[in-house]
Amino acid sequence: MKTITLISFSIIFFSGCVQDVKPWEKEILAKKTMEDSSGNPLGKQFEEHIYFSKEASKGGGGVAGGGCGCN
Amino acid sequence: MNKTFLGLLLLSNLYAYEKGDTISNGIALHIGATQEKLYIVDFFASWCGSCKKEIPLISKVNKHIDKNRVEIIGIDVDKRVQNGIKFQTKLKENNNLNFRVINDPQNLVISEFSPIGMPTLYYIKNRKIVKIITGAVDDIDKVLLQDIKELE
Amino acid sequence: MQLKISLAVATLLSTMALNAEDYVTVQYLQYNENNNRTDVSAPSIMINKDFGTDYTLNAGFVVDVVSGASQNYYDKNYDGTSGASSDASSGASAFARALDVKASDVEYGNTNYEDKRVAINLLLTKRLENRDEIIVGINQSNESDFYSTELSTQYMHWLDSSKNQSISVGASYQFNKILTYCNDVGADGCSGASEAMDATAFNAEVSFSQNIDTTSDVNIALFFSNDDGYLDNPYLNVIRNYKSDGNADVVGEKRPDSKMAYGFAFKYAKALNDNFTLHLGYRYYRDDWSIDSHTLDGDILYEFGDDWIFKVGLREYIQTEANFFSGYKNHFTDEKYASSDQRLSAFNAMTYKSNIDYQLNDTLNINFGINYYTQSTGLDALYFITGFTYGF
Repeated sequence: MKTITLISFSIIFFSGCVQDVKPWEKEILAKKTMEDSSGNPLGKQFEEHIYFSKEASKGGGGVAGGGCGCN
Repeated sequence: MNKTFLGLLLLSNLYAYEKGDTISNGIALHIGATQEKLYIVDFFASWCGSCKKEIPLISKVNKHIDKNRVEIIGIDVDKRVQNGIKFQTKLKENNNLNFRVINDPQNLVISEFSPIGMPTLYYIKNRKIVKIITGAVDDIDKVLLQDIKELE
Repeated sequence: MQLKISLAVATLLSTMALNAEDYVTVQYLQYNENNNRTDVSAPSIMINKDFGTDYTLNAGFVVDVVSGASQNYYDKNYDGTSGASSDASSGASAFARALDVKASDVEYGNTNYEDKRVAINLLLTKRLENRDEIIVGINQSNESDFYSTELSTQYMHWLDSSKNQSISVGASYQFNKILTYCNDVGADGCSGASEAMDATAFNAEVSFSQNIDTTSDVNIALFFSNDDGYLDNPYLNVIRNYKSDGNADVVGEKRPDSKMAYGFAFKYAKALNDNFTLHLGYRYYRDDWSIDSHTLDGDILYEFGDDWIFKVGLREYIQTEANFFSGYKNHFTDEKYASSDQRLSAFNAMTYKSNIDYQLNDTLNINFGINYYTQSTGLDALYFITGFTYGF
């Protein structure tokens, strides 16, 4: 219930204070520098697995990362 | 950009064109779509990956059409004109762009058409929009040739 | 297995660019810890290919070569009777376990290991007519003592016609097999044949993405995971019943056979101007082993010219300890669960990141990054990531 409330709130909140970006206005949003991995998804996953191996937390970076016997 | 046509554009009703709509005089004059032939208008940009893939296929079609009856017009919506020109030059060097392109850095033309995605192709006959294709489409060259056969 | 870092090959379920492009990327990781601990060399390759406008296949392959040592309690007087090897010069074997060991023979230090891990990963994306996406994936990862198969799926739905808002729901399920040794510990050390133990891991995530304006976007995710089965590290020991003037038991650690966790993550990206882009991220994690953690991440990217991107970043991490953790040798007696794995302790960590990207020509990009990771546990690591990406 709390999850649904949080997601619904997020959708409503952002719908209210965001701009309707037109398809032809997405040049900057499409840039490599705007990507979460900055254009190097393998490099990003290397880092996330270092943290997975050396720390006790996981999650928040997508569901599939593969298994490893590292923590 | 011709200031008269810019003025006409600004004065014209700015709304999204849908199938069946008639484009304004200002737009028709500005993009050179005033004759009695089928015009295919392709909105693209250098940063649009699907556009990059589609342009060579549209150019392939352009080699086989009767230009007295069908004309393809590209509208490059790069806000930085130099990026658009660099992109077009590269395509031309590789023989991947052979149709007329109008630069629309202030996005006035595309704002009037207001497509819901990129790239978008508008088929225009006698200033009337007869078909719209939005987004990446498999075998766009085959689709275009079939549409031209039916619509010209 | 767990004494070392093993790195799975990348998958891309977290973010999908609007325009998938064809590329092959080859990357190499070199990771080195302080105090002669873990070293990892990991070459990897990934190919991303569109098939028409509706399908994209992503395939990856990685080999980790891991060597070094990990810190562990052990009986320094261990004479190898369990059948596992020991290194006389380091004096340490992960299986240097026995009951009634003299207290003065209990040591904490490096125990050696080496291993190779091979992993392959496949992801298939199907775009529907409304451009929603379905992604299915499979990952297979094999080490000498650990085998993992993971199946994953995700559905991304556009919430508006301008494609500024989307919601994604994803889940993955892992089937893991772990080989354990030294399952019975007596006064003479270990006995018992090796045994294959099972564990499963279920992960789920729902996330919401929004373009805020022409220069910024945000992503909010809620995640949940449930691990079941054999969750111990079969190489790590704990000390029980320690009497400083007497004896102690050096035995394998024991963790609960389930772990449930949840949390949320927030990511924000903003192009500050033509040259500078800012990324900020925060994650909160909580599980039923009493571990809470906070992660704060920030990167600044600077573009100079048309071809260069320079990135610097900081990541700060803090966690509480598991409710069955103790780093003291005189702590545990007959508790059901016990671990002295530093990864389950309370600590904080910082990562200092830097990377440079150079677009050599229209199709080739090269990258080089140096990063420094330091924990308050005393662990420090320097790692390099370098490679190239070829677009076709």
